[in-house]
Amino acid sequence: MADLDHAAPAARITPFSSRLEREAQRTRIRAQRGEVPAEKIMEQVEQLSRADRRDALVDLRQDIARRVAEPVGFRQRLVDFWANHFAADTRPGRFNSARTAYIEEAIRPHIAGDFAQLLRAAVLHPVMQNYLNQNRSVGPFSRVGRRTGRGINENLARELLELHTLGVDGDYTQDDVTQMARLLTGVTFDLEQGYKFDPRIAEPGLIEIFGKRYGGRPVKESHVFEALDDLALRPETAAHLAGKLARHFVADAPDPQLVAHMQASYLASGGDLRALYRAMLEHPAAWGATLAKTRTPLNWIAASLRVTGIKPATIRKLDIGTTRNSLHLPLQLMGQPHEAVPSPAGYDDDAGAWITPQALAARIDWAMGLQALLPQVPDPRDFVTVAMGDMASPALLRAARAAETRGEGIAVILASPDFNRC
Amino acid sequence: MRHDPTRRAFLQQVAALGCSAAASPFLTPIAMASAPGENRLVVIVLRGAMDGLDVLRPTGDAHFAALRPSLSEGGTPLGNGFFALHPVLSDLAPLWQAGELAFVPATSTPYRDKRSHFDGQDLLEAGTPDDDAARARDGWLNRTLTLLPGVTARTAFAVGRERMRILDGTAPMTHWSPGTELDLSPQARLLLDYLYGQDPLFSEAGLTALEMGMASGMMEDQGGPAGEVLARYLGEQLRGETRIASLSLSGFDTHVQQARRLRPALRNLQTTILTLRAELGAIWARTTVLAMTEFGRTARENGTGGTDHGTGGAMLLAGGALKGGRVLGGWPGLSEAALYDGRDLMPLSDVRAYAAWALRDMYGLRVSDLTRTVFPGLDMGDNPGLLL
Repeated sequence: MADLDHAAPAARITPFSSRLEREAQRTRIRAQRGEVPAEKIMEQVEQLSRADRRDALVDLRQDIARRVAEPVGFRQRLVDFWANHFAADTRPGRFNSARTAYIEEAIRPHIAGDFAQLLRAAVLHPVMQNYLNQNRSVGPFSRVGRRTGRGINENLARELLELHTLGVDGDYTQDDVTQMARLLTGVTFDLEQGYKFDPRIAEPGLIEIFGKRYGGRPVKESHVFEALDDLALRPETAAHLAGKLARHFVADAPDPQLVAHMQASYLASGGDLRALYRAMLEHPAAWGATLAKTRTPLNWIAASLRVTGIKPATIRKLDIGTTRNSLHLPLQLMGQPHEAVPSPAGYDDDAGAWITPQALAARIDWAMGLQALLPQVPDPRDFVTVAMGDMASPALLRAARAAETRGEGIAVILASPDFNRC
Repeated sequence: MRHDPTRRAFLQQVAALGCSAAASPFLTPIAMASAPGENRLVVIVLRGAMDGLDVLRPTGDAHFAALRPSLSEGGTPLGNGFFALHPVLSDLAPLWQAGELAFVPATSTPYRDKRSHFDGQDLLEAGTPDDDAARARDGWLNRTLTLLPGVTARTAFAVGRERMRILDGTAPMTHWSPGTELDLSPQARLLLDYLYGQDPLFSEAGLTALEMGMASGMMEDQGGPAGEVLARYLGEQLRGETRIASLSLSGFDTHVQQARRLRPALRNLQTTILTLRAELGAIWARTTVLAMTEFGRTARENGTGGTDHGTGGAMLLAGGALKGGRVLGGWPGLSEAALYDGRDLMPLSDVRAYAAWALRDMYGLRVSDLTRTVFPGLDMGDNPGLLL
């Protein structure tokens, strides 16, 4: 796993603190309602939101440039996997376009350590909290709850058990969800400091989850951490993570022995993600002869840019219009809009899920347009080896010779099943 | 030149290029499948919370004018004149006269009190109760498909760039954004056809992509507003194999200066309906259009000439199959005491019930399937007799 030990190529992603600060500014502007004309308020708020959207396009260029620069890509694919596992975006309001920052700050630094660390960073991040309404959850017997009558919101607790740890087949009940939601009260954020634990909204008293008691007085942040750490080490969690990871990297229906080996290694290591990855890579079942999965739109675009020799620096220097038309819009048409996730469960990870008529047409169209960006269009007969190494199918080798023009030949190779698989 | 994107046309085109249809054996199952009847359903998701009180103005309600100082002037009176259609929608009035337009003025999804667009739209498209535990990740139109016979990938169509959660799910469907046009040389197309045909994972999607991409590339680019482009494209599909379709229109979130800002969104909605009607010709008589939004807006105009997120709102129904020219489901009134939470129009019905009755009448689905599979836990109430 040499890939994990190398520093990732640098990418300048707009920090989450900047998204937070803009939201704080918008809140201050809106508070002037009554003193300042409404049109003026709208205009100022819109200006900040425009800046957020512009930054999102810059982030997209930076992200793609880094993918193009990455020599092997295992690290990046792990980041993508975990970003999908902890799917969250910012469409429910508050911050704009902060998903990229969330991935950069809460996911990427934690992909090669203990899962418990990753779990804590992702689940408690304001983007996740906002996405799953944790900031609206108040312990009914907390100081604030008793005064205001506000109550629990179970959304984050449910997804924590169903999606992030035990899995939908895990052995838990609605009562476990409720208890977990009670324990999570106190976890919230504000626009000044971001994440915080607020004892005034935390439910006091002992809370029992899976036969273990957490909490007690005084309420403490460490009670939440302790419960998350325990969840990370449950056998159901290990099975859930192992199965998902194998489905992502190996095949839609991975060898059960491979999954069992991964689960056991993870548990034996005390929840070390590197042990989980190593167990997958060392197992013979992970090295099937065929490429059974498909590239995500983002990685397919990056791979296309890399094999056609477009430099990361060129991508970073694209203007806003080109970024929008050549990267942002095509990603949407390919089914992976920048800064959005389809649901808390993330994208469907089946190989066929990306390969719909609309999405594939968008890939073909993008590939056909790529030649315009190339200073020199290579000979398809050579390019097929650059793109596929020795894995090109006989059909693709034939097609590469049969194209009418160089540009179309390149596009046919990029749009081919061979190059879309991984 | 108008291109007919049928598989026959495609095969002829391929034959003319000297390629045999045997290269695409997967054509047959789609072409041979029987369609689930002849009735067409179009569901329009109005994103941003459309102000039902502005679209269908209750000018006969004594409280209306006072609640809406800048949003009550004008409009086209309908029927007995209690309601008036927003001035921009005057071209829909002839549909009302013809019995092809109806409204449910005070309805809503089960979503209450939180008033978030995102969650409200999710629930509208999921078709489930307002309960996190029961929330489905697929959409009610897709679950409907699972109950219909002979469903193919073309039976249901989502158009537009937006993801349409309403059609997400296990049943096959097609999502296409008009404007995804493939400009390929005949040779490039042949090569891609050949390559996709070699790989089962890509064969069907690849062939459909080429066929549809080339077909829309051959359509005359007539331009026009978003709704018109979508409706024109959709009309073409509905004349073919498609029976159930969905698209979304946005621009309804009018917190400020609604009198001005709501106009383009309503014009877009009107154009969509009128374009569909024109495109469908005789098929319009077998078509029902349901336009629904995530929630309504506040009964009172706010301090900036707009309205804020509310509860009860309007559903619009159109189509030649409709027994229209009526307002359905009653009127709760706008007095202080009649409002929901003292601020919003009180919903008198669950918007899903109208969709459920339409599905029952159009496709002969059983009430038990509708209330279990399509809209879990829904009380459909009395049959409003939506269709002719």
